Amino acid sequence: MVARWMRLGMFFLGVILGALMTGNIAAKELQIKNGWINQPPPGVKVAAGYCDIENQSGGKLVIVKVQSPRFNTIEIHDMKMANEMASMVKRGTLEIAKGATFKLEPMHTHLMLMGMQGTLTMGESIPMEFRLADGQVIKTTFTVKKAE
Amino acid sequence: MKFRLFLFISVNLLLALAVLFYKLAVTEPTIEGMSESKAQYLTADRREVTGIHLRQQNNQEFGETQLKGRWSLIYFGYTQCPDVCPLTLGILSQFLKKLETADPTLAAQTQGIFISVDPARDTVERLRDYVAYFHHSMLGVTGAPEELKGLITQFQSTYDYGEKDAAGGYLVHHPTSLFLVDPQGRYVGRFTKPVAIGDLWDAYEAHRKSL
Repeated sequence: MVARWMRLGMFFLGVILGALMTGNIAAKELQIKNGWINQPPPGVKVAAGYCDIENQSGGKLVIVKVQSPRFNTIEIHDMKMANEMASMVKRGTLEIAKGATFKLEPMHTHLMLMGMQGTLTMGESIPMEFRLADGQVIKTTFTVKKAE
Repeated sequence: MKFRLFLFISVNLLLALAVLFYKLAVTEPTIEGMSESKAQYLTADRREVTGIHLRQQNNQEFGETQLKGRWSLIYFGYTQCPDVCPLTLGILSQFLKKLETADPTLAAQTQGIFISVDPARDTVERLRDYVAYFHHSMLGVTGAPEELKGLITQFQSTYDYGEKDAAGGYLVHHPTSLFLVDPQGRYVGRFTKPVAIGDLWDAYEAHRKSL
């Protein structure tokens, strides 16, 4: 009887450890909120993605890659203004300081989503993955909207 | 010691005069009552926009005639732009819809024009679908690179292209302003990075009343 309870206990311990070692615990440290994609006009295969990224961990976190099955390539771009001219500059990584919130916003730093697969319908949830330098992967979804 | 003090004061005075002169020389008139941060500038000289030889989305010619008899809000960009172009055209679209409701007469005298500076990718057919997504009355225009350069120069602006990536894609660096042309076909002002429909509404009113 005792052995049976021990086996059950070991099983639940395994489940808890497994959850801790996957993205579940990381999701509590790096929160992706209010994610949305500006629905691209007809014939356009690029779009921009925006969200709030909150670092609730005990140290800095570095995003090294963003992926989605609906786009071939995703880059993090800064919009630079010079003499009223807009230029997009690709970032290699995005560092979020401990306790900080970084906003990806229209006409500022944003996700450039390229090589769109199919079309995006209004209100659709698009799966997105944020990969961190330490190997953690944060899974979330972005909602397709039309900028107002 | 006195000479050093004299030298120090003189240099600082000269620097201050240089900064003052620079500010006076480059600052453009702003509309009264508007904060400089909104930067809704009027042009110092209302110069007629001329020598336009472009094509619009129905493949008809687009020349200076199309700028006469109505107010034109012109935006230079490209359809593959993911961020600033669709956002600005979205704001322009909202503005035109608001105008239709608030003042149908003025709405009929106001046109939004999107000029693509990426003619290699933006055909007139592509522009037709693109501008229709934003507003039924918006015009989509493009043309030969030398014609586009000639036109944008008249708005004291420019554009250029980024390097091609492995797939042959590239970004286009372009102005973020909406340019205003009056019914006489004269470039009269610009709205810099219009991020709010309210700002654009107020600025358009102020621009029109100031002329």
